[in-house]
Amino acid sequence: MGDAANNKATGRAAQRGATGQTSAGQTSTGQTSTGQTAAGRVARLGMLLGSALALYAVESALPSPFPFLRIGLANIATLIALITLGFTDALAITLLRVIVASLVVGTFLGPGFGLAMAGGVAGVVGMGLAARFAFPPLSVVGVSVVGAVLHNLAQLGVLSGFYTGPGPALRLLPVALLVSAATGLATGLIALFALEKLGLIRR
Amino acid sequence: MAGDRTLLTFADRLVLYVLVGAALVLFVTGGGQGYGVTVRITGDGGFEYLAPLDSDTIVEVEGPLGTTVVGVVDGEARVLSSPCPHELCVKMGAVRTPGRAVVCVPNRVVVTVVGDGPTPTDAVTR
Repeated sequence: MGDAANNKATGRAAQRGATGQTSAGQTSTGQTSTGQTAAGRVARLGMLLGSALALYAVESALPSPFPFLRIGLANIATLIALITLGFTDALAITLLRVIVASLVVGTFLGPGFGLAMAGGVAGVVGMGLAARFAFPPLSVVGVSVVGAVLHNLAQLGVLSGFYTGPGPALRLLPVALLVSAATGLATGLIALFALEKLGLIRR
Repeated sequence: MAGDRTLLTFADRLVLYVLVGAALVLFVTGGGQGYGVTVRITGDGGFEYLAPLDSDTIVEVEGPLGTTVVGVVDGEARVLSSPCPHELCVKMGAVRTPGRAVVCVPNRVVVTVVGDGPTPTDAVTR
């Protein structure tokens, strides 16, 4: 009796996993349920850019023990753009977010700007590659983790190349890897839930 | 949805495990400790002495006023004693970051921390 119930439960879970795989596979080929028209795409781009900036503002208000330790909430918008609209639009949103945010805060072309730009571009390129070549095995969450890792690695690279030298950057490397695993997981899950709620992805 | 095993795919978990594993390995191996920071001690008449910052040494430098004693202890360099009148070099304390220096002008002794790569910035404003 108990065994039968168990079998039933695991069977259902496996089935759900399988359908999750196929729906992920479909979205990776660039099909989107909405935003097919140019106007729809522009509207969605604008909304995602607005969301990215709002998330960035929320994150700036959160206290952080170190300036480099950030959750990367804006990554959620980038990830949604990447999954629903494609790499070019995700890159556009990242570039615009970094530029507009730095203009508002007043760090445009400052030292933090280079770090933000390098991290943002590396993150979106990493997620783009992951989504293009490894999306069926990886889920949205895995793509997010890849992006978070590359974001932090790029920032450490810029840090070591221009500001601190390789020593301190190397010492930060294990911390950065752990942090990016955690933040990539968190933002990836949020993006996954958001995509489901919006009806853009089925599991 | 909580505790749903299908939330993360196998590949997702693999990526996370590899990351945490790499981080742990880097933690254990020290991830770049002792990256060649040296102390350059110069004195009167072209005296120059290079000492690694991570091993303890005491260096005596002869100057116009007498002997200045420079110590590298616990990864820091400082002037331990000096024959100069104000002993400002002693009061400057210890230096450990590349680009920092302790100077004794009267006895012509300069202690500089030298590292590879660019010297770190003092401060960055947002």
